[in-house]
Amino acid sequence: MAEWTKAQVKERVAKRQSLERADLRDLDLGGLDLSGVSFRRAELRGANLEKSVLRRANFSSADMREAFLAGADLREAILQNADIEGAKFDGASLQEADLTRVNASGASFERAVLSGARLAFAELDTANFGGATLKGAMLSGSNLTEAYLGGAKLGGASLRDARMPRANLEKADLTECDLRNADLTHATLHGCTLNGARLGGIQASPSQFSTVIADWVDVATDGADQRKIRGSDLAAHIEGAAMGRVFGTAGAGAEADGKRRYFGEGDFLGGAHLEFREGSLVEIQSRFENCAITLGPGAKLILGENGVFEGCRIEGAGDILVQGRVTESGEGPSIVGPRCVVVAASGSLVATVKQPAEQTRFGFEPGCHLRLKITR
Amino acid sequence: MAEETKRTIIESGTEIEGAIKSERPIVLSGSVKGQITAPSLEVTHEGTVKGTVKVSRFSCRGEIGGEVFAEAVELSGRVCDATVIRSKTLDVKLAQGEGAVEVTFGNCELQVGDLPARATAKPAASTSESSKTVAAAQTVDSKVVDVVSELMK
Repeated sequence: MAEWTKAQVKERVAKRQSLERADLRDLDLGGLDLSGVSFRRAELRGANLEKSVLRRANFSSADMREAFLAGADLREAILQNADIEGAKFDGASLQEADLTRVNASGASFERAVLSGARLAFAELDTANFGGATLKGAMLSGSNLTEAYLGGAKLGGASLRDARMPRANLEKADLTECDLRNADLTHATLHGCTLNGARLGGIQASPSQFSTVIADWVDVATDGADQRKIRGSDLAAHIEGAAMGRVFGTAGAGAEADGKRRYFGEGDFLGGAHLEFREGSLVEIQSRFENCAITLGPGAKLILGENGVFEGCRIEGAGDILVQGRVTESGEGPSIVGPRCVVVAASGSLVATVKQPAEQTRFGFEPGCHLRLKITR
Repeated sequence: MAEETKRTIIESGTEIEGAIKSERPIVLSGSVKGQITAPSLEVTHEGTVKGTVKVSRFSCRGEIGGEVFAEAVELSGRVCDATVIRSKTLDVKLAQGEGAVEVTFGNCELQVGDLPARATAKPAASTSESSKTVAAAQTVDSKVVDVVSELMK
């Protein structure tokens, strides 16, 4: 229960006195003109500030959890380090506001205007920005895990290094946004506009980009000059970049031609001889028995979680990722001359690997199973 | 020094031949030839171990040769010829960058974790589904040299 009444607040504001550290919990301050007032470290939990004028007001480090600020005018307001978890800012004006490092988990900014606002390093997980305007906003390093940005307008915004796993950006406008190094794992990008966006170093899978709208994007990584590619080539580029991270060649240029050859789960191949050319990318979720596989230089072979190689021999200077199961028949080394062998946590490798003259690069994730002989 | 932070430190320039048994974690920057038994052993990039290591946690950025028995192993550096590493888990990070090598392996063996049970699922293909198998093979890259399918029952 607030220690102050609405009348007392009005009186204090009229005298141009601050309300720092004031206990204003659950107080109804709706419709008041509180421009420029300092609410630093104030307790405003559950307070009603609907349609209040709060231009350049200072809410630094204030507790505003569950507060109601729908339609409020917060242009150039300061909310640095404030706790606004669960608060409602629907339809509010927050242009040029400073929300750096704010805790806004679960807060609602539906149809709010945040053009030019600063939200760097903000906690925005599960926040709702549906239909909001964030043009030119600064969201670098922010946490947008599972946030909703459907239909949001983010043209020119900076989302560099932002964490956005499972965020929903359906039909959002990300024209010319800076998304370098953003984590978009499992984010929904259906119908998203990405014209001219900077996407170097993003974490995402190719399938996420199947319905995006983009004439061209910039995939240059940090420190590099602009590198434009057509929107239609984006999925293939993402594929190559993902493989680069897996095989430790990230930044060296995606070698794979981006076209994934695929052997599906439940299929079987026995006694076959297959050859994959330089730069190809092969995913196998099938069962192969007694097959001979030749990998061209830099070819990438992924044995998926459902894949099984039994009694097979793999030869050539390719890169091999084992997520499934490999067992050899005991007749000589089953993997000869690989450039790189990575066994994922789900992988099992019972084999002999004969290294080439230039040592094989190995990676083993905790949880993998090995009965591995390595020879030179 | 607090009880829990005490470690046995073997500095670089120190060579020990024989058995070391400690109840404290050991940090090795020198050279040990023999047997080491401890809760954990950390071999720095200057350290070398030749012999038998029995620890819960083994972290090596230097050189290891011989036999390692551990719960958890984290490796970089160099693994010498005739080395056997037996552990429940193994962590070797793939070096980033073209040509970069995090760990150099000689002729050695790695026995990590329990092997999963063999899959009992039978191959899906049968005589009547030979066309399906061939169709699957046709997704292979253009330089397939030869495809000969043998169907297993």
